[in-house]
Amino acid sequence: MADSLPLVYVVPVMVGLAVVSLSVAGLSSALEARDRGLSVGSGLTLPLRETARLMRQRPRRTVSADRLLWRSASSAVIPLAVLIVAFVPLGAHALVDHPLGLVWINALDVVAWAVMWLLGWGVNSVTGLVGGYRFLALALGYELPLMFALTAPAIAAGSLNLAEISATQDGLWFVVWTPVAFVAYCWGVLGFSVRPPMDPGAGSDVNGGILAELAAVDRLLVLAGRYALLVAGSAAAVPLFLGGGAGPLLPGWGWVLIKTILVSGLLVLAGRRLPTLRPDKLLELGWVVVLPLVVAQDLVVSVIAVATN
Amino acid sequence: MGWCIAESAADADVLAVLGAPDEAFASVVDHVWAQMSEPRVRVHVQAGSEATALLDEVRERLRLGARRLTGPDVRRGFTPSADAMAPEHDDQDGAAAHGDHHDHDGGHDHSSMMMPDGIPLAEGAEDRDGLEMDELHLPLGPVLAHWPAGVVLRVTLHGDVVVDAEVEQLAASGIGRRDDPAVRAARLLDAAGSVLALAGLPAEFARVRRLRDRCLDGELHDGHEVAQFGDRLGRRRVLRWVLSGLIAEGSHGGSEELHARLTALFEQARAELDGDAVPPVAPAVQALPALVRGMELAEVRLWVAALGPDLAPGLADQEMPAEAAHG
Repeated sequence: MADSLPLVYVVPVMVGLAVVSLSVAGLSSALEARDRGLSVGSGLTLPLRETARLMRQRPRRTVSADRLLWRSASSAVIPLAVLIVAFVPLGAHALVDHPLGLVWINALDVVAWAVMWLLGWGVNSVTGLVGGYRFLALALGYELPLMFALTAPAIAAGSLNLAEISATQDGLWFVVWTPVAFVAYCWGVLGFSVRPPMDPGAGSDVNGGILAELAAVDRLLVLAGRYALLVAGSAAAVPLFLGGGAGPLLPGWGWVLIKTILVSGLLVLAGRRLPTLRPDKLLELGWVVVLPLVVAQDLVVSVIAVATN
Repeated sequence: MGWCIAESAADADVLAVLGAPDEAFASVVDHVWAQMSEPRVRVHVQAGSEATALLDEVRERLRLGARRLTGPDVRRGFTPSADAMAPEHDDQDGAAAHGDHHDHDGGHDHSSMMMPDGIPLAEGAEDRDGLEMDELHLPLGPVLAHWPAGVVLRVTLHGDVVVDAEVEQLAASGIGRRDDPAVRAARLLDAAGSVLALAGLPAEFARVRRLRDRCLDGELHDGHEVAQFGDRLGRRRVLRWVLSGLIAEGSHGGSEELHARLTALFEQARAELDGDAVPPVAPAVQALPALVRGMELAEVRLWVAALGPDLAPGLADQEMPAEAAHG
């Protein structure tokens, strides 16, 4: 088993997470600027200007809000992403190399349930509450397929350690023979990062839902946190499905970075093409179509794993 | 320009009022203003011709924004920041989202035990499955993104299901109101764009918006482009699937699917531009409460946006008074 990286690597990993998140946000707003007929360049820099705008805005409170819960939820989104990235092997090593790394990722995506719901609950506003519960309904739709999707690489590699799972894909990435699990996993990433099309909890049709009453730094933390979660989820997909740091010329961490950017970029593009999935539609899709498919995928993987051992 | 629409007062930097609102409308605008975080700018556009210059000044003021704008230095059209600020400005009313807060402000008369922070506790009632549910009262509109200006829908909610609703229409005299085919087509496109924005397709919303701007500038000589856009959109299967099952009883003379309504908006806009429009058999604003009963909050938003041109025929050109600047 690989060892954990020395603690000093926390800094470059966090900077990397921030830079990739900003770039993905820039990509998203550049595409939006293009659609509106504005210059793409102004879109690319929008996340930075939006950061500056929110930093100087006055904090905002609502009547009888549960401030402790509300503030802890808005401050928890970015740490959640950081805690996921810490377990992702960058090449052969991760910041934290743990035998149960995969379980940790799964546990954190469930913490996202609490965080997103508390954002809606703590604010004491109808739209926030509706948004929070819409998120929970949606989470019911994506979480089980996501859990079964995480099972596929674990069975294939016979390990719950992310570095080992990544090393097992020598020559043949899991995405090639577990494509259904990969798609279901990406779907789950969009879900726990509340990004389109999995964002009915923050949709325009409920006035922004869990985001409706957020302003200033609180809003910044949540908006940035959503991108950070998307990037962290994409980073975790690299050792799980995309061969980890494997690739020519570049060092392992370089390939992890490139693959992470590609996955999160593709997820942003997919989100722009698709309308918001309303919870009732999503439950239907998740439980009637995706869940059986993912279970069948796990079965195939199990049979192959048993046969080749 | 680079202005974009704020979804809620919390995210808005600019409150732009177009036209002359009546007293009730004006008091709602004050409430929205009180919910906005500083730095913020409030501007009153009274004539279409001065809009561009005023918006440029808004941008400049926002840029200087950290310096608080107070006192009577402000030019015609602007309201100084401190002016509308209530003493307890910090504690904005979050319980009733945006829009109107009459219910709470006047309600401090008795039984303060039951009213933490001046908000009465929710009353219980049986929901559609016979379960005891809290009843919440939420005014939707008149100041809401992708919502026909002036329409106020006071809904009673069980969870996010509307069990009862009352409608009211606030008056405002518009500015530069023309009534020609291009303007009518633009209103229809506005409604279609709102539905797309609410459905989570900001890219399509932006495209419809550009089409609508070109329509108002007289660049569309016939309905060809509008029809083409509507056709392309109508063929998108995922959109059809997501909107399927959203049915309103009593819309346009029967039960209608939202997807069909969306397609019909483009068709109507095309007909206006081609000069073969027939006045639609549309539901009146009074029919709205019956129409939305039993719908989820999100469904109500989609339907009201889709029916916008019918509900507030004369007001659609001054929708969305609250905008945010990211400029």
